[in-house]
Order: sequence, then structure tokens, then C-alpha cells
Amino acid sequence: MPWFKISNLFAGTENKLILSDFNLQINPGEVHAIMGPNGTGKSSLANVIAGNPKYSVSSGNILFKNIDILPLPPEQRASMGIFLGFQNPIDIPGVSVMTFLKYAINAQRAFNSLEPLDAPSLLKKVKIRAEALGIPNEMLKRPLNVGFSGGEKKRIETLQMALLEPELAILDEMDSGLDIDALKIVANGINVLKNNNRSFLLITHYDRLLSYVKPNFVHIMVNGKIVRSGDENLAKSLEKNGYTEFLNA
Amino acid sequence: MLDDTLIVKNGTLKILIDDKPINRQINIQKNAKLFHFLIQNLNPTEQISSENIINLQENAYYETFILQTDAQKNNLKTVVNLLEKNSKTFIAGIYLADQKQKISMENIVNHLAENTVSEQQVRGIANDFAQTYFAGLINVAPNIKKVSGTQYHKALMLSKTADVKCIPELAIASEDVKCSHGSTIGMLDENQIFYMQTRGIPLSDAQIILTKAFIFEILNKINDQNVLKNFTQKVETWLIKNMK
Repeated sequence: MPWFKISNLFAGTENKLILSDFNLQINPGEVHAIMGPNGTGKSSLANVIAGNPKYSVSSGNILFKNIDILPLPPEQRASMGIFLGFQNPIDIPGVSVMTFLKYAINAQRAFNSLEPLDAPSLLKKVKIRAEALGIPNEMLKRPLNVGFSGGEKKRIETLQMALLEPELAILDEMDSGLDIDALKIVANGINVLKNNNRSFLLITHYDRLLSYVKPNFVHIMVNGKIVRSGDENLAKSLEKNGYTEFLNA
Repeated sequence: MLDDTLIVKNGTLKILIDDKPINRQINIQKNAKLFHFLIQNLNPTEQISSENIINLQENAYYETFILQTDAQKNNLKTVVNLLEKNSKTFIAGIYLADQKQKISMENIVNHLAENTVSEQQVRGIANDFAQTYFAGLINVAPNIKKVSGTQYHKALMLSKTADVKCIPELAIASEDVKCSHGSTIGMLDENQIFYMQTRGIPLSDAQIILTKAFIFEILNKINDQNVLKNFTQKVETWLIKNMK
């Protein structure tokens, strides 16, 4: 039985079909990268897996650990171990990073029948992870993502991922808006979380991130479906030749 | 009409807490400061209307936090006259209305001297069939220099049957003035809710957290811990009742 499998998925927004007969299988511990031109449905895919109500699925299914997740609300998918790192993380005015982390961690613990983490343990856990990502204490007190730079937002996404310890992390353009130093920090944040039970689905335009986080599989997505799969060499050839051959195929 | 006149004397600092509506004139003298908290505890059937007129002399400061949530009909008008140079005011208003309540908040700031500064921050929530009205005016008299005035109003509708009206106004008859204002009315942000859900936070919790944060962004500016506690209690009681 596959661990994570998308089969014959057709999905889109109210007026537009975006994913068209999409198929993908991921096993524990694997790193997959999805690349493709703008507007091809990569972010939509991430949103459909996470359960964004703006998208509707007309047919197909998504199985995660033998459960059809499509009828489940986003919070249940998250608590089962699916994490979505946003391309454009959302501002939450009035809620500090630290408070938000507390809500998220304890909500997932409650779902999994665990006691909430007490304040000192939570603080300790957050500080260790934050330090590794170069996130200063001061930033943890600020309202989540409000006025943060692109790089700061991506670090905070990585921090959330590290603390929530998902089994499948879908990272939507984690490399966009990052300078080379920030990219290295975020890539390192991903690499330290890699293990045999945790998988990653990296959505990206370029092979920039992939030179730091080595994928096992690279998929090219065009017009809502995967048109070619290969290893990391596929990403390198894309960087050289672009998407033209796939677009005209 | 006036129930009371208050004078805050030269160079002094006063804290005033009103738990009932009072029609008042307040004169804040040179270098004096007044921190004025209005937390009205009223009967649900009452219909009340009150007005505060505040006059500031040179280098005086007036700060007020208003919480309007009680009574069937509740009108409150605040007029701040920045009469002399270097006077400054900060007005923070919160209104919470549900069922068939009618709540109206009106703030008028008159900049009548140079180097005067005003800031208005207002947040409101309307639920059920409540009707709310906010009017904010920044008025700058002719030939007054180096004025700074801001006015921000945000209202949240928890129900589509609520009726929220707002009239933000700037009346500027002078140059060398920095004024900005903004007003938004809307429901909770779907993108924020989805983001929180993807972190495992259930929908209903996300809605409560966002609504609370919307009000506490203003409330947390209160420095007096006892007053903050009273305001918090009243706001939380309202949120628990309205966000089941």
C-alpha cells in the first residue's frame, strides 16, 4: 500500500480546471521536486493537498497513510502530518510568532491525544530551533509575518515546520525572494529535518534550492499534470534548456 | 446638558475612569496629561447618549480608551480641541454590538494650533442584527502649520445581517499638514483562517483567535494593568457570548 498517493486528480477553482489527471506517489523518506513554468498548477497542487476551500476536486483521490484525506478539513490533514510551507506566508496581526507557535503545536498535540506542552518546555524547544535558523528572540515577540522581509518569512515557515515535525512537508517556492545566505539557512533547515520517515515535496522554478537539498525525484509539471519524471539531472537540464520542449510536446 | 466640568491643572497628570456615560467638559492646562478610560457598564435596555469635549492647552496630552458595548442604544461623541501649540491626543475606540443593538461612535479632532498631533485608532465588531455607526473627523483650521493627524477605523462583521456604517472625514484648510486615514469593513480573512488551519488550528479556534487579535491590537496599548484587566474581561465576555 503506498504511503502517499494522488490518483487521477482533477481539481480547480470555481471557473477553471487546473489539475488535470494528476498522479504522484511519494514513499517515506523521499524528496520530490516539482518544477514547471508559471501558471501550470504547482501552487494549486500544494493548496489542494492542504485542503484550501478555494479549490474543489471534481474527481480522483489523495491517500495519506491509507486514509482518503479529501473529505478532511485542513487542520486534520495538518495534524495527520502534512505541512504546507507557503510561497507568500500570511500576516497575522495581533498574534505574536511565539503565541502562534503555541496555538499550532498544542492544537496538533490535542488532535493526537497528547497533553499540551507547558510554557517552559515550549519556550526551550522554540529557542533551540530559532537559534539554528538565525531567528532572534525579538522576532518571536513580533506579530506573525507583519512587516517581515521575504527572507524572514521563509525562516519563520521553516521554524514552524521544524517544530511541527510533519511527515510530509510541501514547500511552495521556499527559495523565492531569498538571497544566497538566506537560501543556505533555509536549505540547511530542511536538510536537518530529513530522515527515513519524513518526505518532502519541493515546488520550485529553478534548481537553485535543489543544489542544496538533493531530490530523489524531479517531476516536470505542465498544464496541470506531470509530463516527465527523472532524477536531479532533469533539473540541471531544465536550467540549461528551459521548459520549451515540454510546452510544445 | 453638562454633568461635569473637569480641569487638569498645569503640569499635572490625571487618570480618569468612567463607568457610566457623563456629559463632560475637560480643560487640560499647559504641560498637563489626562488618561481617560471609558468602560461603560449599562443595562441592556438603556438608551443613552453622551458627549465629552476636551480642550488642550500648550503641550498638553489627552489619551482615551473607549469601550462601547452595553445598552440597547449607545451614542458617544468625543470632541478634542487642540487649542494651543504642541498639544497632542490619542483616541482608541472599540465598539462591540450584537443582537439588535445600535451603537454610534463619533470622534472629532480640531487642530487649532501649530505642531499639534492626533491619532485615532478604532476597531468595531458587529454581529446578529446590530447597527453600528462610526464617524471620524480630522479638522485642520486655516494657516495652521506642522500638523499631523491620523485616523484608522476597521470593522469586522460576524454576520451578514449586521449593518456597519462609517464616515471617515478629513477637512484640511491649511498646508504643511500630514494627514492619513483609512477605513475597512469586512468579514474575517479567509486566507488567514486557511493559513492557521494548515498549522493544525481548528476552524472555530482560528476564528476566535483572529477576532480576539483584532481587538487586542488596540487594547494592548493600555499601559495601566488594572484598567487593561477590566477592559479585557468585558471584551472576553462579549467574545465568548458571540463566538460559540
